[in-house]
Amino acid sequence: MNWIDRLVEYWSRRLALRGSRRGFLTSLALFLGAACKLLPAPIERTQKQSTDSEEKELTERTNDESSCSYWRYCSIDGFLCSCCGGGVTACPPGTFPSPTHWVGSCRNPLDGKQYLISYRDCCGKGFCGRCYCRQTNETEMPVYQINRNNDTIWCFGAPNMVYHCTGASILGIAQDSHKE
Amino acid sequence: MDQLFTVANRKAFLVDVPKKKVLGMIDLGYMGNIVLSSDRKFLYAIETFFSRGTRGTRTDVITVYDTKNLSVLHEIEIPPKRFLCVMKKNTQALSGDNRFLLVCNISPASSVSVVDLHQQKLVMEIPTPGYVLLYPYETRGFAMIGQDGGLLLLSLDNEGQVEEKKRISPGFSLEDPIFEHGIYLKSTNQYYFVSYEGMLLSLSLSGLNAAWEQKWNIASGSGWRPCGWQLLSCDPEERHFYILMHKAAKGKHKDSGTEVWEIGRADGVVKRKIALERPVDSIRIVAKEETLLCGLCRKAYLDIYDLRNGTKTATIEELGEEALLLIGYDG
Repeated sequence: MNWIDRLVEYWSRRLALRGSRRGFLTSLALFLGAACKLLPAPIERTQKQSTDSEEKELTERTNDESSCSYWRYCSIDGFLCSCCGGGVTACPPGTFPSPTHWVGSCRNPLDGKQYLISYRDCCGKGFCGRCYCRQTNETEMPVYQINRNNDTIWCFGAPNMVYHCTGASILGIAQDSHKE
Repeated sequence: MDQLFTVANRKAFLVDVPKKKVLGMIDLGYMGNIVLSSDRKFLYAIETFFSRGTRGTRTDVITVYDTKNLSVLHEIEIPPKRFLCVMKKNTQALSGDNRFLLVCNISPASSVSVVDLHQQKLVMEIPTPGYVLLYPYETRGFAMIGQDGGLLLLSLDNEGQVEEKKRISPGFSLEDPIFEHGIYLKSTNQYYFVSYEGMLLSLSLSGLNAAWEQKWNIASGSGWRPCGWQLLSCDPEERHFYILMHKAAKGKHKDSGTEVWEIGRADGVVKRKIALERPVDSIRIVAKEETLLCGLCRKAYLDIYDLRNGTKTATIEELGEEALLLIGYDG
């Protein structure tokens, strides 16, 4: 859970330096609330059975990082950084990775396991405008569950709040995946 | 109400629906949004600007427009932390008496900026940890939704300060969450929402009291599910609900819809299924001499259907990128 530690530490320092005591407590409360929600990881429970040829086609299609059907993008909403000069985990030149993000879960067709995916926005330039991809799986939630919502501009903590594109990093195997 | 604004990325068009004609346009800042006064006199644009386009100092403002000529009257600066997200109808709201305009902030701490429109200034910021979106009711009441689906109700006094507030327990399960888009029926002081699986819920409000009721599941067993953005509407007589639907598995709740189902408000029975000629994301009923169904697609077109026979009678194209919202003078 190092990333959670780093995130909380980042916000604690930032808010302690800039904000009022009340603002700090408010932010911390919201943030801890969000962090707690991440632990019981949501997973997609229904998986379609497929034939070998379908599986091969699916695997090829879902391994193209510039394609909306790439497996890690199962709940993404935005322009793919892979099409904007960056990569699936790297921001394009001149943009900044946001230290905050939201979390979904996707099934990797290569091993059939469910992974926690961090959808991290790259910020600091206007909309990339390339490879727009909007996917929702059943773990994508309305904005009142903000840490599971893909409509939010996740540039909190970046040098500015201008959204450029979105990447998808693996955080780990979803808990329930061990039981499959 | 026969006129609507269609809100897209950085612009909003004013459309006369019965005449099937665009009447004008306003520019919007980064992730801009709008609210209209119920007396039809003012449009409030909630905007974010950076001093160097996409760089520099951030400024958030309420820009007040005269709706007669779509010209700017004045600006009111607000804290530079309004909630930036794909445009939603309920990230800002006018009080029922049109005196105060409230704007959701996420920094990521959650709060609400309260603007006094008479005095043309920010009067306070209310911390609302864990709660987002604003659903106005009565004269000065607002409901917000929390992470667990519970509500925060608050009311403002004449100075825009919080008079009272109260938390209400969740009325639905997060296993079947409600869409954010709700419609308010002023006659009964009720909001209606629909869930991902098609459950229609009412929220009855009275002062700081609120009661949820799960009414009917309009889709169970059909393989069809509600979907889209502004996916629920009601006719002016409040006899029928209209819900945007599609035939799809779970997890496709933001896809465009292909049918609009007409539901009896009194009995929850599906009276009619209107097949759309092409998919849309948001719907709204507009009535003057005839009752029309408006369907807006994020791909920039507005299709207008005659509700008497469900046939498409007009199309307006090129309404901007990510055209998602249909905003009227009645909310």
